[in-house]
Amino acid sequence: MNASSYLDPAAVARLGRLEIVARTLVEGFVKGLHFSASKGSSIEFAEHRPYAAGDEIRRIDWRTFGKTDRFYLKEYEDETNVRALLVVDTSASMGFRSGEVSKLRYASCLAAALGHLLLAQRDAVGFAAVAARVERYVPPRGTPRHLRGIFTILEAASASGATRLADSVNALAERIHGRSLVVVLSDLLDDPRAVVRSIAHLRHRHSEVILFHILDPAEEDFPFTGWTVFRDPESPSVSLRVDGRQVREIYRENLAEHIAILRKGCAALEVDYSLLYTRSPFETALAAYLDSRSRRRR
Amino acid sequence: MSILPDGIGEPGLIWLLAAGFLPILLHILDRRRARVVDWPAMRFLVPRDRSRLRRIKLLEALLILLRSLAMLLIAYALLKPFSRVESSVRTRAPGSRGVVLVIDDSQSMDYRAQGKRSALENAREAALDLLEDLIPGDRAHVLTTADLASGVAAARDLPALETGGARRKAADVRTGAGRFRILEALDRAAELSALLDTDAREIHLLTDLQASTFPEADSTRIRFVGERLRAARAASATQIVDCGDPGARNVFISALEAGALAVGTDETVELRARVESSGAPPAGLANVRLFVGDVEVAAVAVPFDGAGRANASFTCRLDAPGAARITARLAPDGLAADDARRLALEVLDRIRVLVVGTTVTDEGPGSARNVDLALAPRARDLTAPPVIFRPVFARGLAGAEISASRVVIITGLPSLDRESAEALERFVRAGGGLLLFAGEAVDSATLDRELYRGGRGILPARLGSRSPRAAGGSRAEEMHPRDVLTSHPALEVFGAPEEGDLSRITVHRVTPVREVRPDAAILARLGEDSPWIIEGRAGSGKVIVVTTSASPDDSDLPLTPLFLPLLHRLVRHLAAPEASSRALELGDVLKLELPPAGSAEAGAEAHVIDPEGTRREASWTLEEGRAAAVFGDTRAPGFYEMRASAGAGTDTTGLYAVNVPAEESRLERIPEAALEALRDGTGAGVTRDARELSRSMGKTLVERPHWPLAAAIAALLLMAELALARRMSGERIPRRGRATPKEATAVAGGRLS
Repeated sequence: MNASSYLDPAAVARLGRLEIVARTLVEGFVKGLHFSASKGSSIEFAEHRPYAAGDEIRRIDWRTFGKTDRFYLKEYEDETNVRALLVVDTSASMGFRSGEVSKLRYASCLAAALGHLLLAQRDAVGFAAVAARVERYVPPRGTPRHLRGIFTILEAASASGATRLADSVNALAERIHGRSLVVVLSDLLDDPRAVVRSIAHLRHRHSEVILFHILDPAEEDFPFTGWTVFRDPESPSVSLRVDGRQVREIYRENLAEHIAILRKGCAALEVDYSLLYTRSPFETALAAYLDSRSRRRR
Repeated sequence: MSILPDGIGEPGLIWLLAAGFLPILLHILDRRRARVVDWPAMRFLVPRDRSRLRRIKLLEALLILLRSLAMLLIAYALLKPFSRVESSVRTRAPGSRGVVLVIDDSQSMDYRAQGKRSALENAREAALDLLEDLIPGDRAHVLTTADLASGVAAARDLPALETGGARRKAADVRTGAGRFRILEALDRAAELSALLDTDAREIHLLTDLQASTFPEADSTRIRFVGERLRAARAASATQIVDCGDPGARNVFISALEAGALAVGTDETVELRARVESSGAPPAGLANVRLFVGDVEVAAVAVPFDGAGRANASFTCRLDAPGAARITARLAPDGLAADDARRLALEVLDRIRVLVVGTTVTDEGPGSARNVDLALAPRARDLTAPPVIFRPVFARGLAGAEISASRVVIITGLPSLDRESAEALERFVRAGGGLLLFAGEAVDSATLDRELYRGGRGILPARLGSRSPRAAGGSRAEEMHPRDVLTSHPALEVFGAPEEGDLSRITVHRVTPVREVRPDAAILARLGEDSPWIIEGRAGSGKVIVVTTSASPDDSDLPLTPLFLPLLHRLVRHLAAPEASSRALELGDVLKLELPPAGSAEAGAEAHVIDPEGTRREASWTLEEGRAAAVFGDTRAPGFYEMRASAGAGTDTTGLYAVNVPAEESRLERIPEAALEALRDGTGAGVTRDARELSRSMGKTLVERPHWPLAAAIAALLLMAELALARRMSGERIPRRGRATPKEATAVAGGRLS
């Protein structure tokens, strides 16, 4: 199996546990880039600081100790301890799938991979599951054990409840202190203007935001040609009997307008917006993330 | 009147409706079978603009309408309908024209309302106008009822006429003897039309739409004829042209009858004429005048009843023996031919009767004395009967001049040889009368063998043997006649007790009857199982058997005053000719049989003097070994006298009265409902006014198929439907300024990669 095949969502979905999925995705992706994440040029010395209780002993600069007889720790530029928060939408709409991979599964895999990547870069990783409200919140920490806990939560997550992403993001914005990296993975089936406002809220709190808009391919193609009863999975009592051919144009226009509002709002807030389909290779998403990080550093 | 074009009947209409409703049905079924999908992006299914939803529903309805119309038109095109369009003769497309003209020349077509033309004149003019528009190369059949009556095969042999010949035939049409039937005429016309190798085919029926021309209410037959017309590609160009008068009123004599007994000279004869009317019931009286020959002998005025009928009775005396020409007349009206009704009545001055018995001078078994005395009373105080009987006595049939007699009476016949029996049978079958008194001197076994023959002979019953006379002359049980059939012409006088009561007669002995032929009539009985007088027919003759003798040995009948009138009436009944053989209707065949000695070989001659006084040759035929002269051209009402001769002693003359059938006099029209059924079933059109046809004569009717136009419109509709459906499903170029999700993906992917 070559590395790129691990980036195919369907193949990845079959791997099972998210820990394995995350490691496989990141390693496969990094191999594809032909450089090692631990030897990157981005790890540059910044300053020394005195040892404090709780710091790891292995990080003491023994050369400086030999010269000064005092304990100092070396600080590097990339060890600014970014607090990343992975926000995954677990509303009922995320359970939809026309192929092998549901939107939630896709978001979970991507979140796991991003978490793994973040941890490898010594960032603290937090997690939030949102639907009608913030269903689960795990504050960021930079230990592998913590990440495994997040994986466990992600694996146990099921799609249920209504989508109120804007409210949930607003609530999260109140919880986050200081500069953070907030990665939102959602189908964004909410009022796009409200979503943009909630992201603006995050930006106002000095957080960087990356928005992954995840859709199923059927949601773009709208492959219905006959009479169909469309039932809202978030509220089954709501249904609509229409001829797919007749509403197809309306549907696609509305979807395009929805995306356009989101994209325009994100651009105005300097938020990276990425539209992904559950058939899109994870490479696209991971590349988008790294591109975003590198631009932010510059 | 049907609004459907030609080529589409009721089944076609059902197909059309089914095709038209099919898309609607499929739409309903499709809606009902919608699959259920959990769909998160519900918010994108509903347009913000509500008017757009209305427009979608409108477009959906339009789509269904387009599909229905397209299906309807496809079904319509498959049924291949067509319409008739008038095309001017002068500007018509190149190609020959075939016309089948059927002219109703039945007697009713002669009806002419005061100051108007007759239906036949209307028909003739319309036919000539139509034929006038034919050009060289066109073909025509002109048919009359005589052509139709000759059958399909013969009609097919009729050559199509060139235009000149067709015009001559149409101009010479006169009313004839035929009876017109519309369906039969259409059928024949379709047959002939199919044989015309012309580009366009037309059928025109010129008739007065008399009810009797369309007696059938059988829709199957109507549809069958319609199919024949369609198969001949003439259904659309078939016109039934009404040449008659919707307000026709006609009074006519439907019957003229005399009694059933032979009429004698100087005898008072009662004649009855029945007057009927058609149309509005006539007011006032029916004035009927009676003519013998050309002489008016009586006139009566009788009132009409509520149904427009009247009965007139006359009595008159006919002096001259021979065939009398009796005519009852009404004042002439619109249809003159039926205002006179004729009767050929044979008047006899003598009836030659051959009396066969054992003796004529003495009483005794088989004696003919009483019969002879009754037929020719010799006592001075007895008046001669109205009809003079001329009895000729013979002791047996062998050598007797049977054929010279009119009636043979047998009172005693101990033996009967085969030759005499055959001569007697021939005599009866040729129209002679036989009266048999089956007394003691008649050999029942011989009669059974020679004259009954298991019911195939001339006797109406098989007689049994009498029981031997009781010793000492004692008599058997007494019996009296009962169940006398007084409705019989010969016995009707005995219905009134004052005229004579046959039940007073006492019968002592009787010849038993073993079997009665099924077609025989028992005129009187003596007991439940003992018929007394039995009558049967054989050929043209009549036979009466009395199961008692003509002598007082069996009964006291010969001694009573009833014997003479009974014998006279029986003999006159037997002598009367068959009334129907001389009372004929137009188109019937006159037939005159020669005496047995005659032969239609060399020297035979037969001719007819028709009502115009013209001598016309008759032909010969042979029936049951006897030659007969026949004449079939009886197209004019009146008296026909036929004379035939096949050598010396065989001169025979017959007088026949030929009348207009009463059916032709009833001018009631075909009911509208029946006409509608005829139109719908056959596809033929009905032109109410013959002049209307004349006005359109300058044009010809051309079949114009509808299917190409229907198919083209259907194709356009289907294309429109396809375009609309594609538009509704969004398969079109997006409007500027709006990106599809795919485009959005491409943009996002391009920037982020």
